[in-house]
Amino acid sequence: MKGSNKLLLPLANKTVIEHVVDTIALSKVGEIIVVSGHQADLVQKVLQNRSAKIIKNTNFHTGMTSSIQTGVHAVSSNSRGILLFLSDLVFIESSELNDLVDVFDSSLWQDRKVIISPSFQGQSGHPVIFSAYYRSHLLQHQEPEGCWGIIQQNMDHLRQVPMDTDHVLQDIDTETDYQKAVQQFNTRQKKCLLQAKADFPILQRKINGKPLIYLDNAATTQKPKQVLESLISFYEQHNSNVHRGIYKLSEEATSLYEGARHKVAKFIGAPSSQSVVFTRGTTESINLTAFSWLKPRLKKGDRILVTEMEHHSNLVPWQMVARETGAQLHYLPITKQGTLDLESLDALLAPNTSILAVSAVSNVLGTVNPIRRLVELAHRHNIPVLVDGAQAVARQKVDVETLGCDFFAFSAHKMYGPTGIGVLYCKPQYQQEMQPFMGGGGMIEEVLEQESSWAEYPWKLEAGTPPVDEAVGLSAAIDYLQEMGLELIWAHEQDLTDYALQKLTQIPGLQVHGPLGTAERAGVISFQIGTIHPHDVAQVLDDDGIAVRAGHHCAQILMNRLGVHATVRVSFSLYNDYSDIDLLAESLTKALQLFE
Amino acid sequence: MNEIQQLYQKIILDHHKNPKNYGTLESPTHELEKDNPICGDRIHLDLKMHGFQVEEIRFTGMGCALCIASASMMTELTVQQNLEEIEELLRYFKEIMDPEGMHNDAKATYNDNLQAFEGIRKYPSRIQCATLPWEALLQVRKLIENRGEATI
Ligand SMILES: Cc1ncc(COP(=O)(O)O)c(C=O)c1O
Repeated sequence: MKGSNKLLLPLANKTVIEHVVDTIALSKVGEIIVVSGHQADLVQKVLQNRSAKIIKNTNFHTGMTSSIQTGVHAVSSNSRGILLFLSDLVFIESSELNDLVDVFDSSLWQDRKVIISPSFQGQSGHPVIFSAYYRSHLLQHQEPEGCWGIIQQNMDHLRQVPMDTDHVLQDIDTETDYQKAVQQFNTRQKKCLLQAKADFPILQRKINGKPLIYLDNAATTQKPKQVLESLISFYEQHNSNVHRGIYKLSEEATSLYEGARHKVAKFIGAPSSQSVVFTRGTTESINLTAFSWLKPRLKKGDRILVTEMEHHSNLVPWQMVARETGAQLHYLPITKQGTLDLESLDALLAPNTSILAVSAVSNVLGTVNPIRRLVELAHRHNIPVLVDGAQAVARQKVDVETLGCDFFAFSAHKMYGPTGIGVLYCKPQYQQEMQPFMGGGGMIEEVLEQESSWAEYPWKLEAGTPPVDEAVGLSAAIDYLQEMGLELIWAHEQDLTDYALQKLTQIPGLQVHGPLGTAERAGVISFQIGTIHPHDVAQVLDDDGIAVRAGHHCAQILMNRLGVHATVRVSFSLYNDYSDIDLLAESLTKALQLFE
Repeated sequence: MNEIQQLYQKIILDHHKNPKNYGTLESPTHELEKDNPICGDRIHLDLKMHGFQVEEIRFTGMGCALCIASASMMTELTVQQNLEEIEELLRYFKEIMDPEGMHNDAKATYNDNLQAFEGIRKYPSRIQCATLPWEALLQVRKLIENRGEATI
């Protein structure tokens, strides 16, 4: 363990210190003070969005006591007690902390000098709670490595609380301890994912007397109770307009709204919060790019390069600005397998190409496009790239800097968040070129009778009262996604997709569109069954409580290319499981019997 | 019968599998087409009209079971009928499918296969699947009137 900072080691989806702070924050313990010595700035950065107070101890090399004393100094003077939490006690759960606090509270009125220490099978562990009486003792004692002496001198007041688990004994001292912790946290997280259905109240609904099996996640995902609760809590506790009022509520709402911007930026690896514009959704983000950025620079004869698999919202805005300016859309074709035909790309990257607009994941075929490669090739010709990330953000870890793209658009409602909010990320070098296409409150610096000046980017693009509760919900959705772990979600979806492809291709007459071989594919599958019309298929599935999509999926160019009018589409999310797919296959067989 | 069997009654499935009058006419007086932009379904009709009266009718197209069955039944019910009668028939048809419709009275006057569509009342979004062929057909009135053919 030498040389690495224990606090910053990763465990499943978070670092050690984040786990610890979150566990305490979820318990009855009041204020949290984190004392950090080594790499204090990094620790501060990791904990940026949490309500812990972070204090630097420059004397950390003199031993643990100096850290304890730095922390105790910062504890507010009216607190009942002081709980000393070693930063590597990652296994302790909030409920266990609550048990300790309950015993402390019920003992305190009998003994104001009480000390609470947990134990497991007779062995005492951590964390220890000292009543406020010991404040001065803690500040003055001399032993360099802790406060065992204080406990020993006050054994009469010590209350041992026997615990059901050995969590109070486990810390991370060696590489073996750490590996054990990694394993346990991964298992714990996987279990969370497998139990995720319980987080989504709507999945308790019955449709035609049968449990709802929701397989239309590419259209919109359902919302976990964590997101729903964040919305209620916003309206019950903080509702007010942002960037306006000089009063507590408005400051809270503003900080929630701007906090969400910060969280989004971190989530997609944007270099700063300011590169994130809030819009109504993917569609508005693409329109904003088309009208505010591209249109002023488009000339007659310029090209806009899109692909044959784009959603209408990544086609129509470009057609609109092209029609106004005399520019033309060109299409990167798809191969028979439903992947982009990269061999045709070079010829299409003509000098007067103004932008390449491409989706990261197809909403019909599930194809995962090689965005990094496309960006690299386009940039070689100085062509900027807009990525429609609507189907990608809830499925894959996105890092806009690694992708290298110039614009990235997505919607909250496809990633477990609310409708009505989306994001446009724009590379810093283009931000100043973006001109507002809506005027109003919130986007101005100064308003004169005949003209006005704009606020800074990104606020100049956010005219009017912004979607505040939606931003709060989006923020909660990001927390939820990270809690579940994007890597696990991706792996889970891959398992489901493999299983579904296997099951579906066994149904007679069923033909799957899109990549079947080794090409990467997300959890979206479109297909036909014999000559049965997709609407009839969807209707029979609905009778069994199974929600799928039938139609052209806002991708008529692609439908023409596939030579069909409509397809049946199933799309998975983190809460789907194998049994959903078994039921789907059963119901499809039923449809086959009815119509063939 | 559960709801889905009520929607896809045997007679509808039969018309869907073996549609009547599917195909084209040698020399139609009118060709008509209508799309459902929501699902991309499309019905094409060849007609031989005598004034406002349908003499012969054939259809082709792409559509769901409800749409195709409705088109098939329509071709049987509209031969030798004039447009007014067909409009009346469509009103009655819509009533059968109307979730709040009073179709019981209507039942007494007609005795035909259209009643098989009453299962649609539980699925109002599908009504337009069934009415598409009829709306395609009734476009012919405008063509006739515009061309002044009505005097024949
Ligand atoms: C690939 C893709 N792009 C864009 C959109 C449009 O998203 P929204 O309707 O949220 O603006 C969708 C959603 O249907 C989509 O799947």
